[in-house]
Amino acid sequence: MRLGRTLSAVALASAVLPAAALGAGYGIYEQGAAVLGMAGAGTAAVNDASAVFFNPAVMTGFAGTRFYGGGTFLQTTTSFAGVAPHPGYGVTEEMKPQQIFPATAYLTHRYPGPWAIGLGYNSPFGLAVEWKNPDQFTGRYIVTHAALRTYNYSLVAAREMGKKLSVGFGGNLVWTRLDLRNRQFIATPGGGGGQLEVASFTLTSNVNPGYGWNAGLAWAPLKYLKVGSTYRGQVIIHANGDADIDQFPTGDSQVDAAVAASLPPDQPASTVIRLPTIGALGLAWSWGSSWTFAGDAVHTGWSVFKDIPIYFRNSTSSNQKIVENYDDSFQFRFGAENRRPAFTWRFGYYIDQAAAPTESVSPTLPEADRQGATLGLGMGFGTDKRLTLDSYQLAAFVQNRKTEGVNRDGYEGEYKSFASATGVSLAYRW
Amino acid sequence: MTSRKRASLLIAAEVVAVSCSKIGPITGPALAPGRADFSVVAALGSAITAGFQSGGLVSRHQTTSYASLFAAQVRAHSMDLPLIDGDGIPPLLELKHFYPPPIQIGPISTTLGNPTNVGLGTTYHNLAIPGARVQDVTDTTHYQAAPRDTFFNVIQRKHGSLARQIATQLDPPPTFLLFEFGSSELLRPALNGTIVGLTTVASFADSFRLALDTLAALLPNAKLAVVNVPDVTQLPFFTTVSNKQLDANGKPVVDANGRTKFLLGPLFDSSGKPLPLSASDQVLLSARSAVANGYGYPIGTFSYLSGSPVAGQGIGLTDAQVLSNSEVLTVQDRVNKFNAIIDTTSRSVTHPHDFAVVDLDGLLRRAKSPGIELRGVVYTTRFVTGGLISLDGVHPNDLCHALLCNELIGAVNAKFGSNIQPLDPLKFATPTSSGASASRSP
Repeated sequence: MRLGRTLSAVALASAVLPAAALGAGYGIYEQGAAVLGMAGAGTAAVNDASAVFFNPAVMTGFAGTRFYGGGTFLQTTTSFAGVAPHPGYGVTEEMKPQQIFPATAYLTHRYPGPWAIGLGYNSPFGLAVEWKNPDQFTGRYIVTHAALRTYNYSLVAAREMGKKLSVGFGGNLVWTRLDLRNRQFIATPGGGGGQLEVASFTLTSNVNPGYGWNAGLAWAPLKYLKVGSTYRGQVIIHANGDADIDQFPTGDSQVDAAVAASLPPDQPASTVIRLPTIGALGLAWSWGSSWTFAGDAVHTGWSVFKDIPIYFRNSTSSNQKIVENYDDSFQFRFGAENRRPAFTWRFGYYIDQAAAPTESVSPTLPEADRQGATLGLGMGFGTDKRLTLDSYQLAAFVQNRKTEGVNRDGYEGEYKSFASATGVSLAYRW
Repeated sequence: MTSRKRASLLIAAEVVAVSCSKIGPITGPALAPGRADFSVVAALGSAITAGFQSGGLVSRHQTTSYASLFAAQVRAHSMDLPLIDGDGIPPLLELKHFYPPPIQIGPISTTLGNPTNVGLGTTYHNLAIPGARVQDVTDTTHYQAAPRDTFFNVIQRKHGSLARQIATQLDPPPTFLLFEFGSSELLRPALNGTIVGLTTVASFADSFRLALDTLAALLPNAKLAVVNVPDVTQLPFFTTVSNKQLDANGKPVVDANGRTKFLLGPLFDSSGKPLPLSASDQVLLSARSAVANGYGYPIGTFSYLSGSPVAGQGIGLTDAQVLSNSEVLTVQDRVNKFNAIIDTTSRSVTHPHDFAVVDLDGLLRRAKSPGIELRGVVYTTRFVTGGLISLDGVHPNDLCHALLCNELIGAVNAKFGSNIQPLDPLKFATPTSSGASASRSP
């Protein structure tokens, strides 16, 4: 009951805050402060209840009941400079800075015998885009605002298969909500090709569920070496919602009548949200009693993100697909942990390969290769240190991304982004 | 240092880092001409290059022809143009009414515009003449043949052959030439529903090579860009008026067996009754008013093209109002062969000519299907509403000229290694395809 209340509160907090993608595509890997202190290299090295996300097989190594919860304060900025032909040299645009706090909560319990179970809540995917000055933003025909929110609930189990091997598996219930807004333009009916901004368009999906599964493996072939691997299946969500089109009057009755005849009316609409597979392989090597070094290779199946379809229930001729055609991508994460009597400190570094092909780099998702460096600190409290506070600081250096004259929306230029994250998690063990 | 101070410093550092991350504006690169010299751009060609659109030639479109746009983009010597004021020669068409359908189009006025630059001592940098054919580059024989004499008198001004004028009567002489011919050779007959008078392939090939040889001899250092020939049969003049009988909702009428009923055409059966058109015959835009008045519709049926029912006259459309399927295929074959000559000449090793080929044909094919998307709006060659072809149904509007200029820029950059930046085409789009002021029509 207490746990249920806690999870509900965390979910509510997260529901009112948009998530921003800090990893490739719209992935969010910031799911636990201790692991993130080591740049997310936690598939083999995770040592807290965030194993529900990073590798459920590891749960068999945790005695008793453990809680791990917290969140990350994310700050992202993106700006854009245009080139010819559109929007042209000298044009700059800027997103509203995103300052948000996606929350996590995990609970694990080790039963007598080989089994352990875990419950979790987090937001493994998300996106928040809002460009400044939407009435003048030169890319408003593509997007002015985009938000993808995910609320993921996990139930996982792990079984010890002897002294050195454990396996884990479980299911995920993912609730998502998508919100897309842009402006609609038409060619003037007079035939000269001039454009008129005639309406605002909003697609708001309901909070729709999707289902997925995950599995993990933990193997300790040597006393000082751990190997872990994990896999999260893709989740496809068919999301129903509403499309709202608000026409802007031009003051010309003939034009307004022609525009009204060409625009679809407000009506139910639907889309498909695709959350990709995530597969990871990790190593953790202990050096003495105080050091652990870890490395992960993470593969994300972004090629599932082919498009964002928009299906109108009544005006099927207005159906459209926003083509994305993402590629699968890799992340490589490396980190270290040094345990001292009074505190534990951590550091790490990761590289994260962009998933968006150049053609798809757009104001909706100006994605790019990135590198990140992290620094973490953990402190135990009390004589038996049942309570632990972990924190980390991350700086993601996103490479500038150019559209190279091939953008599908004809919006050419260069994006520059920066992201930082400060995370805190509280651990308690019973 | 207290923990509060440390936290404040950390937050301040993040704010600074985030603030520094904003990208600055990008400045366009300086023009690098590559192997070409764009200091003086001149043009030879037909109506397209002249900026003829919506049935006339007028200064506001002459200055936005792809040739003028290109010269401005490469910062060439200011172009002297044979400008025409007022409503143009002939007065341009304008949109009188567009919604609800049917569209109504008519001349802006009955007053001819006046040439305002006829006293220019040199020749014009844009020496393109509506109706000009490639043989006119070197051969003055047909300059005064009606109806072309009107524009030859205004633009060529009896100052000698076009090749000689462009090469010897500009100071400084041109360093880069735009060259566009082939459309007039095909359009003039096709606009009248016939293939009689189409320029032969051999004649085009001879005249094309002679023109290039002559220009190469007169201007040995000038580079060229040659615009290829569009498939004129796919322009809205030939594709807008349906060859089918249409009901009040614009849907094709079918017989009891579900077969589509076509309009009556120029051929007759043995009893003297007009035969229906075939599925591939094309009715010309010039037949629109006749069809609206019931021509082509059998007795007992109705034409709704005018917006209200008009009884079928039982009279077939004339040969001049229809381009038959075989005529369409002949014109298309000619287009392909003209373009093959241009391509072959551009690649000739034994008789090299250093020119870029500008794919106007490809541009218009893409525009026809699937269309060209600009800022979320798909533009096509559909009449009026497509946004690319002017109100005469044949000639590109200003927006299409900007797209053609970008096609030209791409071809020139690829050929000569230059780095000319593309235009934003929508900066040249206008409220109406005649470019008339917004107060005249929306």
